[in-house]
Amino acid sequence: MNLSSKKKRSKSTKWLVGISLIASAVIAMAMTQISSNTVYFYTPDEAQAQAAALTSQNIKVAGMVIAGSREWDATTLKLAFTITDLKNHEIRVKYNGPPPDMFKEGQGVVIEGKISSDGQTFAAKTLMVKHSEEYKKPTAGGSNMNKELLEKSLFKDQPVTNPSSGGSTP
Amino acid sequence: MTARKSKFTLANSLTVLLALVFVQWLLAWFWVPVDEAQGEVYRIVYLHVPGAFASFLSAGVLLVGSLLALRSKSEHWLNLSRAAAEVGLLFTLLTLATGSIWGKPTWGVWWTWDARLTTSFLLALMYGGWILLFGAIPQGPSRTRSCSILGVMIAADVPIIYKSVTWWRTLHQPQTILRTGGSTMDGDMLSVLLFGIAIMAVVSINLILVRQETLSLEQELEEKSLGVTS
Repeated sequence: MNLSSKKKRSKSTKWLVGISLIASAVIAMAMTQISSNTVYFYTPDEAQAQAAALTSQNIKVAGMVIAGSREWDATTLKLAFTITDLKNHEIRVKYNGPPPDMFKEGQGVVIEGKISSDGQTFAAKTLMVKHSEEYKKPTAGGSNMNKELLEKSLFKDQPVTNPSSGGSTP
Repeated sequence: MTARKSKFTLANSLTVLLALVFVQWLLAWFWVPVDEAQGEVYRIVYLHVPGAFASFLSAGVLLVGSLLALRSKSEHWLNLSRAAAEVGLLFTLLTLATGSIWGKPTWGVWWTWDARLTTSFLLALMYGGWILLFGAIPQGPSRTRSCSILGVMIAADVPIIYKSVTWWRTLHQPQTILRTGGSTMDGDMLSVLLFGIAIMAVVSINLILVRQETLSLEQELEEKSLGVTS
């Protein structure tokens, strides 16, 4: 009698532990997802519009690296480049360290760090390259990658066709 | 007797399947061209994507097992669900590992909490949670019900993972194969990838069936030995 009730209790404890483990994992994941990852990254115009409020936080911003904007000092390992949302919102980015292999001008990037209160410069702690879903054989006559795919993926919820409207759509 | 014979056949077909996986790897390493943007490193796609599809398919089998168990209130289907959860966990971990190894040289980071990666990580957690839950509840209708409800929840994560790259802003690139406007992959690359997905799908189903049979035999033996001692 005593033995069987002991066994019963230990089994229900195990059951409780299992359930609470799953529940806490699901809640923890949902919390991170909702609080900080609903918007995984800001676009340059969103970040600039809210720069004063965001300047104290660690944020992610995504954009395309403008051709000809890259400055790299191989002795001090200082990298600077300008990102754009292709609608005239530009942010100058400063980063310490060598960039990932796929980093180049015209490439999509997601940067993590702090934006200045005027929204013009960004001190990046993490530099990530965002590539498109396209896979192609290399061709002799230079690149034939479809740049629109990457742009669509970066700014998918923003109207790319209407540059005069400016602000982001809700 | 018949059970042993069919197990032998399943195990045998697994050998053939693994040989086909090897052939697909040879094609992936030596036959398909390099990628213009990523170079050689993109070849991990031939393991990463088939692994992901196999983990989704396992969730599909888990859904079938769970619904059948809920409908029939029979414990019999739990063996299928358990096998699917174990194989699903294996393939989800494979997908996370290969994705991470691919992410470092291309994105520049091993991991980031974007929607695609977070929902995939959640799938691994839930598969693990299913196995924990099964082990924690004593045999009976309550175990069948709880595990089956969790099984349905796990399957519900799969469409979320799949659509995550279109619903949210992510570092992970959007779909390559099943998208409006056709695939964005070179034809030779795509055929080897589809070949890989097809083989891995059959491998995962095969593994699930072998495991289900082992679990059933285990259960049968346990019941028989209990019958002898009492």
